[in-house]
Amino acid sequence: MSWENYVKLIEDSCGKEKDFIILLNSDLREEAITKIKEKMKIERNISNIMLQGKIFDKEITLFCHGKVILKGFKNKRDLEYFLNQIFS
Amino acid sequence: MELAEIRKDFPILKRKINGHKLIYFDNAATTQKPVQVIKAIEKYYREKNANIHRGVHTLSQEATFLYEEAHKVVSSFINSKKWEEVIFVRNTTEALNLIAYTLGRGYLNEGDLVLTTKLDHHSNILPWLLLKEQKKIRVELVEITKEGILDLEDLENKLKKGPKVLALSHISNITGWISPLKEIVKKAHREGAVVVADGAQAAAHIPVDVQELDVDFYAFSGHKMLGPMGIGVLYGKENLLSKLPPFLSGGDMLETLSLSSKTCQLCLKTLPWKYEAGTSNVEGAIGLMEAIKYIKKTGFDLILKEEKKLLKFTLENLKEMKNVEIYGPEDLENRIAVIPFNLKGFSSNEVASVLDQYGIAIRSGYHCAQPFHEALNIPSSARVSFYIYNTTEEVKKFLKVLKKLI
Repeated sequence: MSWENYVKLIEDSCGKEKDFIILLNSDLREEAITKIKEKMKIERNISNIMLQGKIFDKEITLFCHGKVILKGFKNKRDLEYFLNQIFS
Repeated sequence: MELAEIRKDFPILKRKINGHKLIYFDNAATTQKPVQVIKAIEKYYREKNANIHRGVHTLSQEATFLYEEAHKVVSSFINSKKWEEVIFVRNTTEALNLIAYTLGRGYLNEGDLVLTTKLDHHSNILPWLLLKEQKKIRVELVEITKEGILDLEDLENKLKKGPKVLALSHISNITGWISPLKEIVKKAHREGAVVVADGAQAAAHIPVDVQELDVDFYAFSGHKMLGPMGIGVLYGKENLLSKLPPFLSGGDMLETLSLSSKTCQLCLKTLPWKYEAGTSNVEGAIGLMEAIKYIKKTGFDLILKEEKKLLKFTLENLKEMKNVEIYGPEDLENRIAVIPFNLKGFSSNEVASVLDQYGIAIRSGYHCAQPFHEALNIPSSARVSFYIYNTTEEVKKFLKVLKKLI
């Protein structure tokens, strides 16, 4: 399955932080979260509400309700390449 | 009106988000809509829909009557001298662009100075910066203080340079600070400037009297005051608007377009139609009219009282929390219920996402005010903003969730 099956919406936030906010497809949410966790090096677990960590040196925050915040991407194309690596 | 009754008028508040009852604290971005507004729009489409000013049939005339009536209701709401001084646009951004564009074409000359401020929304900065390139005018931004309010001393100094335009917000969308607009207008007029005020955050929260303020142009959006999206207002003094060129051209803003006429080849309609080219947003105007009726029925006394109560309670509790940095003025008298803050160790998007898991909607990022964040040297901020349907119980839940992160 392509990463596009797992991702419902990509929003790039304003601000110097340049976060990308990913909303996972609710039908495949659990599967997507499992795939992310498999590759994620967890650095901080906040009361099981959110996990902060890294995948391939990129900062990632995973929320249990199916939202992901990703940092450190130059543009959307870089992000899509990254998502392809996670979900392929 | 009672608060419990008010909440019943907003059907969306019954919605659950992620299994939790919706708590909507993003009112500075847009307010929710009461059932009266929703029904008025539905009724229009069910019973009266037609294009205005272009038909002699009953539906068209009924729609025209309602659309013109909406101008009059807005005029009365802001106490403009004439209803013709009320121009309907899409939103505050369009109103501010309209006025920058027309002032640029009919009033400003190369070398003229325009003042705007670092406290302003991008919508009241960008149109002037774009004009700077096109018309070779000068644009300067008034500084802000550490408290996140306008530096009035710097404003006075910059006014002495004799700007042709001063563009500023009536209430800040970041800190909720209410500017002393009347005094500022007086000083700006003394120096020969026309004043363009962004009233997007004001119209729903405090009474606005454009004659009392003596402001030259005043812009606001329907959707931030219980009305629908896609309808906004530009108020302008008749003597100024009638002299300035139009913004858009096309249908409904012309008296005649006769290529064979020797006296009037192209004659524009009078105000407000000169600035309302093309098919109008009739449903938006009707929705806005209903929203104004709702605000009037609720009353600004109650709105202000409830907002102040929530502002005070939230600030007191946030201040007691470790690692929370709050921005904005200490003086609550001149502030509406908008609170920007940051939580150490978390980005504003992370804070907003955690709250969203519990059904709490807040804003994060720059809030279209990058100069403000740069001036205070903060990367971004989370922002809660309240309106009449919010309660202390909701704030308590918000604080409880926030504590999970501390």
